[in-house]
Amino acid sequence: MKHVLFRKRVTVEYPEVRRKLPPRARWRHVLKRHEDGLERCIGCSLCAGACPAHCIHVVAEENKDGARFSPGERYAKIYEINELRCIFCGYCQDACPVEAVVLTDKLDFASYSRENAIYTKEMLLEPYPASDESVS
Amino acid sequence: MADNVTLTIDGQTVTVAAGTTILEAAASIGIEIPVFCNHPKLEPIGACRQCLVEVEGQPKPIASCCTPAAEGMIVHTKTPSVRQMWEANIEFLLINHPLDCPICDRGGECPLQNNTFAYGPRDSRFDYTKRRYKKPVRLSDRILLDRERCIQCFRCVRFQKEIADEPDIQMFSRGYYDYIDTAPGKEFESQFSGNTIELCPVGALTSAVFRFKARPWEIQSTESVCVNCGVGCNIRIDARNYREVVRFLSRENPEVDDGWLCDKGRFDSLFINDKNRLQAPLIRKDGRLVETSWDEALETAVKIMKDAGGRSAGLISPKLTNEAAYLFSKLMREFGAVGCDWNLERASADAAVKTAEAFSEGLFDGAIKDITSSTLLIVYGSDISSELPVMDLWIKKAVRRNGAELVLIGCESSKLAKYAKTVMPENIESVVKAIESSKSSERVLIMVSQRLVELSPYGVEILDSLKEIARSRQPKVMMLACASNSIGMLETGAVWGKPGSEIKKSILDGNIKALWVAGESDKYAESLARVDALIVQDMFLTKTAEVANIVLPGSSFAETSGTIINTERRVQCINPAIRKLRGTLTDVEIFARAAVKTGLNTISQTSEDVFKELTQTANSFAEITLDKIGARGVRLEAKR
Repeated sequence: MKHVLFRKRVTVEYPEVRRKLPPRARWRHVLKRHEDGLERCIGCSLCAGACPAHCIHVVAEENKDGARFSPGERYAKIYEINELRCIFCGYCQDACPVEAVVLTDKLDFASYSRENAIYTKEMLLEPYPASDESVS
Repeated sequence: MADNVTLTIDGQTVTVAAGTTILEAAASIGIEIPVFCNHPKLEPIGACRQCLVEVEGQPKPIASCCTPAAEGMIVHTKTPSVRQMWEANIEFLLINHPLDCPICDRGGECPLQNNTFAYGPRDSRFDYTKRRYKKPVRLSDRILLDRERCIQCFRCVRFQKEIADEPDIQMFSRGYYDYIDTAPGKEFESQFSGNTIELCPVGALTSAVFRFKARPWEIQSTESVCVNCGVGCNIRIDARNYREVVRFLSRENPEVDDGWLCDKGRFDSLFINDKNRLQAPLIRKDGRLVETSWDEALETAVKIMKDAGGRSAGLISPKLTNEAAYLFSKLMREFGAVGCDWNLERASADAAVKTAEAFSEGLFDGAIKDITSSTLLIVYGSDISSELPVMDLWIKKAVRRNGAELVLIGCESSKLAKYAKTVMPENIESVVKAIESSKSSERVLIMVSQRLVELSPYGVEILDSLKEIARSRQPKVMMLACASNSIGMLETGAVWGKPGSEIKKSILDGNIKALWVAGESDKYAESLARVDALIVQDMFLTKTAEVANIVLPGSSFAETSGTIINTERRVQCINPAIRKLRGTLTDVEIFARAAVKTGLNTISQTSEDVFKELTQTANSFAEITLDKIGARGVRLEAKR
């Protein structure tokens, strides 16, 4: 009796309360930005090439004067990750030459349809300017 | 000088023909020497200094790409000092190379990348700021230049000078400041400019069309044949996700294209990906075109044609495959059409019959490769530079390297005119005169335009004269095809009944009630609009399609399999590189389904089956199988 009633609770009130995950936790991808707000991603497709689950789809486009998304010539027009297929190996993060795609500790993947599990570039991009909720 | 020399490379003895470079000798026994500037089809220049090797008895390392092998030479490529030179040279090249491989179109298939991984240093010791240029620099609508990436190998400059003889680009300045540019105010206008992209060993020259479209490892490649002209250059179609064609590359066939491809073939076929392509059959109801099912469209089409019977006709594009042409012709016969043709300008039916005879008699026995082995080239009635661009390179090679004599008959405005010894007036007597007045008439190749022989009113006369010349002077004769499969149209029997000009006349007189136009429907838009009931088969809603009763969405050559016949009567396979666009059918499928609706139930349904049927019915195809055609194609043979 004593063990059941008076032991410290092991559950937390998710989602109001979130447990701190280990520092190297690998969950949902985030596309990072430079300090000035430009996207880090250059649309090189190396993440898609490294992905063993083939869950990343990148279509690149050229930056133009007046429509600049990233610092160089090239940016990702479409960047999609199918999080249902992803095995969270982190190879994409390893492959990325500009440290754009990063696996974070966000893990709210639940959705009502399979389509919603395909994360588009807008969903993956870090908000700018950074809000309080954004991942550290 | 001895014919052969024997030398030792890394302890292996090899005997090669005199004049072979050390690099080639090493390659022949499987010893790899890294090199950037050297290319088998270009003159060696020794610009990149990557191929240095040690030769015993020589005080300094020597560039193996421009040193001929000599008797008794002892070459070392594996000594530490050679390896150190290779590594140091790559380190030097990389000092000024931006290393933006992730965004470079060449990244993944780049000789500089490969050689760096194989022979280069592990790390860079270069701590300073790299040189920066504005990028990309536009050389033309098709070619963009990234000066930072250039390693000054001169391949592009040499190609334009040696092969194309259109030196539009040059290396300017010296040493560290070297850069490629066009003449001030000029563009890179050469019609072979796209080859420099493929030659570039880095990503300096890039295609404006392919730019950022796909990375090399995401590409599916298919071996096919270009359908833009009668040469039939072998190409590699690169697609992404089996849905989008991203680029066309040359695929060397030493007997057809010599490894080159013209800009038309390389850049102008990407309409395949166009978003405006038709994706459902259209039928005219209450004066408007509305989408319908294939069944309804084909049933109505067949009914229209059958009802018109003797007042119907067929017009086929000379770009369609042999298989499609064969089925189309069969279908038209079933409808009882007055004729079937690929060209509405054809003056008489006799010339077509005579040409087919000449084919089977073996009059047209000349091959593209004969251009370089002939001493006298006679081009009669065709501007090769614009109509068959890659043959223009063959002729330049023959004239500039082998000293062959070129005579142009007609076509004085051709770009080839400056290589011609004489330009003669356009008539058949000129051919005899050209042969008689030439000093080098041992091996003669007469290239005569298909338009003159088959379509013009003088076709029969020209053919008779050609036969006479062939009998008395034994030249080789080649027909210069009007389109990628215009010769196949004759071989498959798709030209019969009323000739094109009479069909056109009947249309204008209102005597043709129904016409089936298969492909290239925008060609005779004005005349075609006069037909009562028009069935148009095309990829786009062309002007002709807009006034049609039924529009059938066809597919492109990148979605089709089949065979085509080029100007030297070589049968080659085209293969599907991408999935068919949803809602479309290939031409063979359309004709086969229509045939079933007509009541021809025994008709072959797939391209392969149709080809088999062709080999059984058409004499010239008798010996040919798809296996024999393979990747290189096989020429239709006829005994002379």
